[in-house]
Amino acid sequence: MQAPDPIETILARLMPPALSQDAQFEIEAMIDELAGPEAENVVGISAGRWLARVVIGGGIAAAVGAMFAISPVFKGSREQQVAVASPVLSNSGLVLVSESDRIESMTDEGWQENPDGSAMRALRLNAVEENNVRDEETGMEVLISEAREEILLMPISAF
Amino acid sequence: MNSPASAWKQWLAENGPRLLLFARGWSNSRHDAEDLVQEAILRMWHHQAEKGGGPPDLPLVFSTIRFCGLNHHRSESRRRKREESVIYLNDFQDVWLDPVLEEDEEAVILREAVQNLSQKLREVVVMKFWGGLTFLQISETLAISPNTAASRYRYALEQLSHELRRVKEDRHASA
Repeated sequence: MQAPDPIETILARLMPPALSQDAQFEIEAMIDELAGPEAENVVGISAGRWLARVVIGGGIAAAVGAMFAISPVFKGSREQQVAVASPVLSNSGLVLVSESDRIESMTDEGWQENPDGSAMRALRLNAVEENNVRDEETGMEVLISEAREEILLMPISAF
Repeated sequence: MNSPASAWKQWLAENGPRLLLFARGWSNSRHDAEDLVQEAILRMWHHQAEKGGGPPDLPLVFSTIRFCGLNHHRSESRRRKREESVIYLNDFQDVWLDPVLEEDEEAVILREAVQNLSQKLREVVVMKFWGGLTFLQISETLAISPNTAASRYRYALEQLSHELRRVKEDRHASA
């Protein structure tokens, strides 16, 4: 290892002073302001609040479902699935008792660029569609569950 | 796991003095240097938000302080031209570096010598010695080659050595 220059030895006896208390306080206050509320102040949803989760989850699902209905830009067409499924149901003597379509998870995938150069925000959705059908002849009810992944692209209108 | 604010505060406690020292090269006073550090941290916060939100690497902060300092220097130059009658006085206590030992004559001489180095040389010395950056990191910060950074550092040490010898000889001659 190279021996330090004698000047470096003397320089090592000089230390930069700390920030003044005022400056330290101001910068830390700025950091707090930038960071927003501390994570521990955010109340988590406990296991016992499952009802709230269902209601909130249903709300999100309904909102995203509404976006599917009005937005032409999502990949993976739900309408196509329904169009294919319905004739099968009608020809096989099965009656659709109930149906649900819920979002299990949603991940922000960030921005994506369209071929025309416009920016879109991508959301990756894991959804589960459940259909409860009854066989007319036997009276048996069957729950058909189908998980799927979709990418929702939303135009970005403001920066 | 630490919150982002805690991580940044810890990072500030560790690196605040070296950032302040570097900012001194771009400021007229300690107070201005602290403002410069604060401005750089604000810019860094927004910059890091897209990269996970953690504290930034030191070379990037040095570079940002330099950028902010350049901007301030330009506006300050324009202001000075308008206010040519203003006289800037140095505060006696307003020093860039503190000697670790009391009555360390050599250290005090070098402190003055470091402050009087040219901007180009002083930046490299501060980043290398008190910032702990490698010549490669310094070269990236200043947009120069690593060889140039190393040359400036060696040249600065030679100048400091020469100044130390000169002052000591003068003092002995007058004693």
